[in-house]
Amino acid sequence: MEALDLAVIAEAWVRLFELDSLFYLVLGTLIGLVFGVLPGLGGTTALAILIPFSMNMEPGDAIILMAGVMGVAPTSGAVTAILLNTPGTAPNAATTLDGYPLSQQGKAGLAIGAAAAASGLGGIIGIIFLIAMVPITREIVLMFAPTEFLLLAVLGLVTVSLSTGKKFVKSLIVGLFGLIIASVGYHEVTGEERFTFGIDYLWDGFKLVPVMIGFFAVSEMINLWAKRGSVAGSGEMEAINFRQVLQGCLEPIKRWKVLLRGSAIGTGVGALPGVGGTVAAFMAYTIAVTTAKPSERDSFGKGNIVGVIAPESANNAKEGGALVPTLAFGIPGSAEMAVFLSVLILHGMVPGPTIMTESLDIIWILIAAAAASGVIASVITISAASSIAKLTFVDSRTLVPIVLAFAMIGSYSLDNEIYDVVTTLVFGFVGFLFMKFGFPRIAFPLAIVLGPLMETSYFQTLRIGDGTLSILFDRPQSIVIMLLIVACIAYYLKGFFSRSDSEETPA
Amino acid sequence: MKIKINHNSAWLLTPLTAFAIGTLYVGSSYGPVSAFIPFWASIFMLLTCLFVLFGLDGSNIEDDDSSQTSGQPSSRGVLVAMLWITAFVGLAYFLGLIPAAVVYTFCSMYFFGGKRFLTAAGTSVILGLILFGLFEFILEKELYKGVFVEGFT
Amino acid sequence: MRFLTALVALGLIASAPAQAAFPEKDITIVIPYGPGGGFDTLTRKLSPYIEEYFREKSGKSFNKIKVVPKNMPGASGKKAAVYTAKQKPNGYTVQIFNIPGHGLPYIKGENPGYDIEGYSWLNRVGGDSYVVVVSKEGPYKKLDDLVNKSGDLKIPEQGPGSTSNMANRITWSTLGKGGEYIYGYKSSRDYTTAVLRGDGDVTMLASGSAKRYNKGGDYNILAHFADEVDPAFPGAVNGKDIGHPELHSLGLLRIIAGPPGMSKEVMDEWNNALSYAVNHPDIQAWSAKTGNPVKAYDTTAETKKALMDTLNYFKKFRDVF
Repeated sequence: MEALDLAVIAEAWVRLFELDSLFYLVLGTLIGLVFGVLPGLGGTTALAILIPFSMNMEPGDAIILMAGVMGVAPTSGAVTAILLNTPGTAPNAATTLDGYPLSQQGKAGLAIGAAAAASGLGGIIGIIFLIAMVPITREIVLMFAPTEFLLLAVLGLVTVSLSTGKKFVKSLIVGLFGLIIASVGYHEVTGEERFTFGIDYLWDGFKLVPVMIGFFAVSEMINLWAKRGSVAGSGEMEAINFRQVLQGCLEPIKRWKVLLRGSAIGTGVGALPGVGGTVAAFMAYTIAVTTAKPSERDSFGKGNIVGVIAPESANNAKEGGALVPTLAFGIPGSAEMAVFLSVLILHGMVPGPTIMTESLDIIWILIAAAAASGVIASVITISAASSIAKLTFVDSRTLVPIVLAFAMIGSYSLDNEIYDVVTTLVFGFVGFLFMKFGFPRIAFPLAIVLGPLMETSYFQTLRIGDGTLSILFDRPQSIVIMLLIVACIAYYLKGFFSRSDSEETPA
Repeated sequence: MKIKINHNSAWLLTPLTAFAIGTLYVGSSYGPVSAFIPFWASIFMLLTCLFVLFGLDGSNIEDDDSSQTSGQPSSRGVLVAMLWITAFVGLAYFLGLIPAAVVYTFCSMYFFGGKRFLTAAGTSVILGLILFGLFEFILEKELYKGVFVEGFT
Repeated sequence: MRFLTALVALGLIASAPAQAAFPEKDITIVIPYGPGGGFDTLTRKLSPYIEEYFREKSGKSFNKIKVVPKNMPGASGKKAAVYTAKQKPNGYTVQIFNIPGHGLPYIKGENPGYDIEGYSWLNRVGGDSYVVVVSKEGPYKKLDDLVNKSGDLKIPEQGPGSTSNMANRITWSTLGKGGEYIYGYKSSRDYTTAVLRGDGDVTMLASGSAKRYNKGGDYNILAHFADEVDPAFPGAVNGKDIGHPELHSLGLLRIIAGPPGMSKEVMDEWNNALSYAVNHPDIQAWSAKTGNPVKAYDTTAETKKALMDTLNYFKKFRDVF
């Protein structure tokens, strides 16, 4: 197979370890790490800022720098997700479910160790899957039409609601709220403006980043301030040492099946343009819950380490998957990929079927760099983990203003728009209220991301199918996904009923 | 099924129900394609809110175990927290983002947190320097400088 | 008395070269879309060469005047247009425009909050003609096959306001054929792949994009509406062949303009700078390699004429939009 020419692959790795390449790789990784940790910034911002600098570099070096950033952001995003219940990037949202409870129990080091290791290993596995998929990238992209996207969006929303167990109905309310919020703005399909009330700021709808910062970071800060104390309500600060972190690192290896499943889901879902890492992470989480022993299922959401391993391996593996449509068709698999695409074009590389033949050497360098950066990021995170984790013991009166400052400034710096800060504040209140009254917030980011996808795909499906949804039953891919949806619901109902049965047994 | 008004969550559910009704009203005025999500989402939201409000989902029973570990903050504590967080935005509006961050951090640590003056002041200033260095210097973003500099919008 | 004279002389010296010394500080080029798209890529590619021109011209190669691209996405390009219109017309802020995209409100007779005719039009930098594209594996081998299909054509597209959508609507209404538009695809790449996948029958593309996307030979280009015959599209008919030469006026223009009221001297400077950048051998080579057509005019008058010709052509079809 031409694409898997071993000589070219080997050459790429040799090139990577040259001194100047290593410099760019580490630089990219560090930049990605810092940006991933600061709420509101994230990989996409880092990439966009680096574009002008990259233009003066050789294509190979530019690619390595960018790959360094991309490979890393989900890893550092996990750190804030675990420590502050604030996902650094949207795909880290699922990590908060079990990562934050672990922090509260004084086990932040464990969680970070597990997340870092899962991310690093997941990223590598994702790359391996990517390599396997390289020969059939075209077929994969052509197999998935709006019909499948519609069903995948539904699958995502269903699984996330179900993952909250008994709070399913409350979770649904949050999700529906998210759908409505997501519909504010100019509607792509009809050109009509919805819920803008003549306000220019709302023309494009609420921006994801300020909303998320508010909904997660600010709400958490309100809570922390009201509660007093520190994030870690129990446990001892001294317990967070390197040994705890190392213990965490070993977890993904011990539970390799979870790791493998998570990575597979990440790569697979990441390969579908637009669906992205958030869905991948949640699906991995939900499937981990579903496949756990019934006795263990209740411990999810309360600090089960598997709940950290699954989403983290998925959201790093997704980078590998997202390269599939990006390289094969020039259709970016994620927001980072969109920016990355422009870098490629600026350097004269044209993504598309021919990139596999024309620029194969660069592709392999990219893959090597992405894999390597994931590993480097993990190592750095793990080394710094025990120090970072001690943040969970910092008093609220000190921590809150600092985090708030970064959050609000981060939000503002997105577009130099003061209204973004107001948005952040407002959603901070909303998120806090949901939290206080026991409404699981987790459906919200997913609804915002998947809602528009679901809506657009719905209408595309109708048009493609000449006005009916019958096309859903004509395509084998669609039928498979529909069966998956049914299976998920069935699995949960079964678990739900068997649980209530056992509860009714008199003590 | 017992129907019992869920008093605790009513504080949140009532505005949510009102929100759903409002969205339904506005949403149904849009064209058929545009109205699809707003219409159905708000109808379902209305139904589920009422469902929970009347305790039909059984949530009264294990109500508000909530995911937080330590004790629930008091309502007064919550109100103060919300006001204080808002204060940051207010402060930023007048002083600009970075000066507000410095002042706010100092006040939080010194007045509310009882930290020593030097600790509070030192942390605030260092924070200000880091923010300045990162955003204005490295990222070259011009941060909001407050109403006196930028003028009232 | 001598002091006053000196003061006046100083004043005259201070004010006079304000125009001749342009530019003296950094320049901003506003991009109305996010990073990664065609406008963004082209602007970023050209910026260093524009910078080169201005530095040499002002003799400030040591002072390092910068030309800084600035993304300002929002409201499908409207946000940037409104912003640029409000800037000082001193030549330090300009914007790349999407024509007819930005001109759609003008074409439809609506007021978007900016006056498209009022800007100081500096020069064109890119732009393209349109082609009709179908899947090679599909049932349509020539343009007539599409016209003869029973029922409306299914056409995947990005959204109702895009230039390619306008091109589609004009073309098919000219040929007397109805079109059912499947909106919602994220980019031209996406909606073209949709044709390949079978979501729809046909769509239209800028010729540069068509060359890029067709490198693997997946598509058939059935028509190319331009006067020049392009060797990349053998077998494509043009407007004259089908009795509609006016379709050659269908086109996308990427033009740079500044706020209304710029002085003639500064506008001419910009025109020259942009011509310099566009015609630079590096840019020409990049353009050929990546399939991004570039082109500049010699005067601002020519630029303004091209703009108005395009807008007025599209205006004739306002009922179709």
